[in-house]
Amino acid sequence: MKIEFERTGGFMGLRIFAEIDTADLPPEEAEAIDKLLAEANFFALPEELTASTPGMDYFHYRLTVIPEDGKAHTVRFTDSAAPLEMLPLVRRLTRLARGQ
Amino acid sequence: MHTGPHLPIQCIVPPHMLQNIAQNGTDEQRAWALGTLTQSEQFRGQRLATQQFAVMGLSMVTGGGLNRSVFNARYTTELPGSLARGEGDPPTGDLAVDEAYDGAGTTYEFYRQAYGRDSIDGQGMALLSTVHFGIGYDNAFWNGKQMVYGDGDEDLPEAMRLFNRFTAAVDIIAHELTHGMTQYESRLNYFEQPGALNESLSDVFGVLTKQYLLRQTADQADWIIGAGLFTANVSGVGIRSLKAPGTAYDDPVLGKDPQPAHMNQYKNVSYDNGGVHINSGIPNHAFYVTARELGGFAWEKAGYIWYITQRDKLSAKSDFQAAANLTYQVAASLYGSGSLEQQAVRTGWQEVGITVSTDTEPPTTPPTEEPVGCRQTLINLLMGRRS
Ligand SMILES: [Zn+2]
Repeated sequence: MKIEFERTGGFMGLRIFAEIDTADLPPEEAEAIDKLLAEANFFALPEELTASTPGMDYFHYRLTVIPEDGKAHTVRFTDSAAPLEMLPLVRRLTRLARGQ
Repeated sequence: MHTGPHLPIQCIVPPHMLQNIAQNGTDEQRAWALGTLTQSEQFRGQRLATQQFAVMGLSMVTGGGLNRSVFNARYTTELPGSLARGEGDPPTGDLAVDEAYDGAGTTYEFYRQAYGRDSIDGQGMALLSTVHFGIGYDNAFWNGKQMVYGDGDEDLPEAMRLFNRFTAAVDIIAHELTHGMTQYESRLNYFEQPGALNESLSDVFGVLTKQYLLRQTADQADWIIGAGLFTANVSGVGIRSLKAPGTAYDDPVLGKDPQPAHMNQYKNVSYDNGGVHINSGIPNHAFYVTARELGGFAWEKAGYIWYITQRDKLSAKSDFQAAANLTYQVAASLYGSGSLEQQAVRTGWQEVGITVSTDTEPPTTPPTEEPVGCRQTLINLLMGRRS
């Protein structure tokens, strides 16, 4: 499974990006991501989950997941517009993008 | 005024209806009208949590002035969360709650005392903040209605943390609150140059709030946004520097501060709404140079010129050149044509590669009296006062 994660904007304006092939990750890390994707019901989410009100310093995220034998799914979202179940997934990917 | 209350046409609820309720309604109906008012003016299009509604209704009844509410999202992303501290409540012992409360108060007092402004909208709008937002949330934002703060890397072991809580720096709080003010005044678009100006105004009044609090002159201040925000694991002094854009941090994990200090380094990027947090370095530095040239307390002259420009001159599509021309005009109307203040403004923009132009100067309008808005007019009416 391949994952592309991008976060832009925010108070700092720092762009972070990660391209992850779960085959390259330690198995427990890959499993954890699988589980977080399932908990977020990621493949059922709409492509656009952005805040309805204009705001400043929001983070803007783009997450694309390409399963081994499935169709790529991309979701663009902002913090308070995404479902709560996305939070742990976003945190995990942010840390991976930061090299942690 | 001896005539009946004037009701501006931008009111959402038909004014005659509210007026009727105000004059003939029961207490319950009057309370409903106050609530409607709150919703239409500040929470347009948003369903309110009952609690928030009650808080806002209460703040309306007190009739402006400093009115803070700090909410706790309890590590979720639901806004506003539950009320943790209201105006006048004693400290809670929760650092983030108390910092958000104190920082909003400091910013309010700065605007009030330095420029005579009563809150975000100039009419005593309640200051709403939410803390403990999200998990490991390295950010703060203004969502169009309120300020929101994350706790940084609270979920990581200390050795891995890069960010402290975002309420730790008063200039970040003032930055977010100023976004609210921009929304009510110049309404600068949040894209490319107008967006970078929007960001810059938040940074400028962010650092000025801190300088005012510490009573620092331009040469004593550090001109850093977000000092104390990074943990000791990061190589950097803060998020941005107005004095030397591009030098605030240089770190193996976070990279290097990308801000330009001059037009010849302007970054045309597609992300970050066209680099609004990046190219803000240019107008930020123009302000710094103006303040440096004038010396003394930066909020008194340079800050006042920028404040009046934001309040009366800038509009949604203003770019850097327009901001340069307008601050130059405002300096002339406040301090005189050819004054030291006006020369300092010219130097400020010149040092970032922008030459002020007076060629296409639009006719200057004398400052007008602040109109009494729809909200305040109706509140006065509902509370039985006549303005
Ligand atoms: Zn901002």
